[in-house]
Amino acid sequence: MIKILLACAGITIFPWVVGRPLAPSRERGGRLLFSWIYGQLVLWAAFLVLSVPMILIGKNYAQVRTAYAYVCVALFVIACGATLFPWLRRRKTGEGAGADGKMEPWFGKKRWTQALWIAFACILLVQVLCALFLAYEDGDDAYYVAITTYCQGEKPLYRIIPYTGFTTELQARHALAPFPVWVAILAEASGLSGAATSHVMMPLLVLLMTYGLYALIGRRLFQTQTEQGKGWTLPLFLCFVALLIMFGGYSIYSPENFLVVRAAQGKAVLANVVIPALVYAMMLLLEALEKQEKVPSRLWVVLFAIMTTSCLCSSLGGFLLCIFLGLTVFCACICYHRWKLMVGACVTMLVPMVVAALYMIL
Amino acid sequence: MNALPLFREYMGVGLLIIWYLVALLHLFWTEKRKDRRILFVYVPLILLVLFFNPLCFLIFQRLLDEEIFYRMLWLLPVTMTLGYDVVRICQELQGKKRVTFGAAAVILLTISGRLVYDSPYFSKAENIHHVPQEVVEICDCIEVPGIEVLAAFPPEMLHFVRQYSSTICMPYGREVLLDEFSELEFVMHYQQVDVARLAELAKAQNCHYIILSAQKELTGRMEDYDYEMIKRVGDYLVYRDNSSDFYQ
Repeated sequence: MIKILLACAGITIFPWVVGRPLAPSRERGGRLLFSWIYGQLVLWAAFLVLSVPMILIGKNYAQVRTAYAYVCVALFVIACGATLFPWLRRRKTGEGAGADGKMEPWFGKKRWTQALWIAFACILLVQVLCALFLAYEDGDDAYYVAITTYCQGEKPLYRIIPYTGFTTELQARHALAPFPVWVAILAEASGLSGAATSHVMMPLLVLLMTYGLYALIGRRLFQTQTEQGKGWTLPLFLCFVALLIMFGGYSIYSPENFLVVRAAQGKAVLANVVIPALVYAMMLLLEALEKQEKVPSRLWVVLFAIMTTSCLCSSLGGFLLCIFLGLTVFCACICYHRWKLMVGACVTMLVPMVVAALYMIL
Repeated sequence: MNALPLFREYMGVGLLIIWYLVALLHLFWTEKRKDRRILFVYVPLILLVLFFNPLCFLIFQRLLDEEIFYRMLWLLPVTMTLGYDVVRICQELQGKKRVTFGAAAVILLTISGRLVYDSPYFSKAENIHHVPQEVVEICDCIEVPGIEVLAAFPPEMLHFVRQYSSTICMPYGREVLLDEFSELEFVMHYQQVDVARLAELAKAQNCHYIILSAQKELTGRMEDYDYEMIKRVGDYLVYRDNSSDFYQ
């Protein structure tokens, strides 16, 4: 039980600290959510950059896990420094935290607003209970969850056929997106089996990250309305999102279906966390352009982390996100005449380009 | 194959994608903010043009895999566009009209989709691993800590065994349910199991265990081929090969 609580702290407090320096100062009330989600994306990105070369040169699971632990600690220390130093400086000079104070509190006092929040909480609770108590038989789990389960100690990574357990040559294309190995580290930290972590812990994590992102997106979409006292817009938006997710079984290919039935697979994380995370980051970027402000450098760090994480989730992920980022930045360049954005966008695409090249070569 | 059948498959049984396209057009006419137009109108429209462009499909087909071309549609912000547009319309309406529209939108979006839990593949979880309890008990019975054993499982268990235990290997796995052929699985699959052939194939592949459904009809006695039934788990019989080197 203590191990499970520690693992829960590892996927909540740890990423929150890591993401803290990246949170926009204006994100009043949303900084906690932003820091947690984007901190986790930074950790995933670091895991990809670290694990793929190690797997390709034949390092085993224990070596990858140990190296990742060192990187996590290093990122934690850097993030603590990057958060504390500006805070101490502000304290010394007596400056404010930088929040522009335009946003209203999350929870309004009007009866309708509260009713909508309760309705959203009820739908979310149903989804959480279904994730805990309903099992889904998905064929692809036989591959991905089996990888998570066999990741132990000295075992070589991606050199075993997950279906049977027989050794084989390096499965390079799957090794380029080692998300199941990260799930295995989470399983080891929590003391749960690979199957339990994949089928219980991961759906909860992915579900909460998804709604966290939609909450941030909704807050940003309706921030000007909340100024006018229309606090009901955000919970109403979230209720619609929750309903659309719940009734997203119209196709086995929909992102909502992936979220509910395949949450432990990188593809589900790509469709429901990484893509909305990119949309939100693009909202921030476009808002900065709309206000004729300079794009903050931390936003480019965030974009770099998102693009890199997309490769961890799926070997196709980087390709998809490059299309979206490229098109959005292209439209922004035309609409706002800020052609230098292209340079920044190209830099954030570096890792997906390297992974794509490896995908073609291997 | 071209992009249209993939788009139809992606649309599935509901009308949600149609409503999304309606919301997209509505935002095209009514959204004034440039940043929102880029995210919710221009980029999705270009994506749709790219998706239906035969040249783009051809490039994707050559470089990657045409069957996963549908994932390009994940880039369309369907959920957030629908949510955003409905809430925007609600804001423009007042009083009873707003409530009526909100309720109508809830009903329409609900009946246009399909409950994601309404699938025959969902069942009540039997344990924390979300793996059938029979699989867990069989694996616990044959598992030897730190040592890999080889066991032939019936097809309905193939998905789950290695999700639960990494020390149990199988002579065939999920691939036989997709496209590969295994004679051992073929023999076990039939209602009437040819025991002589089953034992011959299993021993040739050094299987330590065979798990058979109790509902199967056997053409002989497993014991005649050095197999011993060590446990019955629910509807399944666990046989151990006593002639295997492992148990000598």
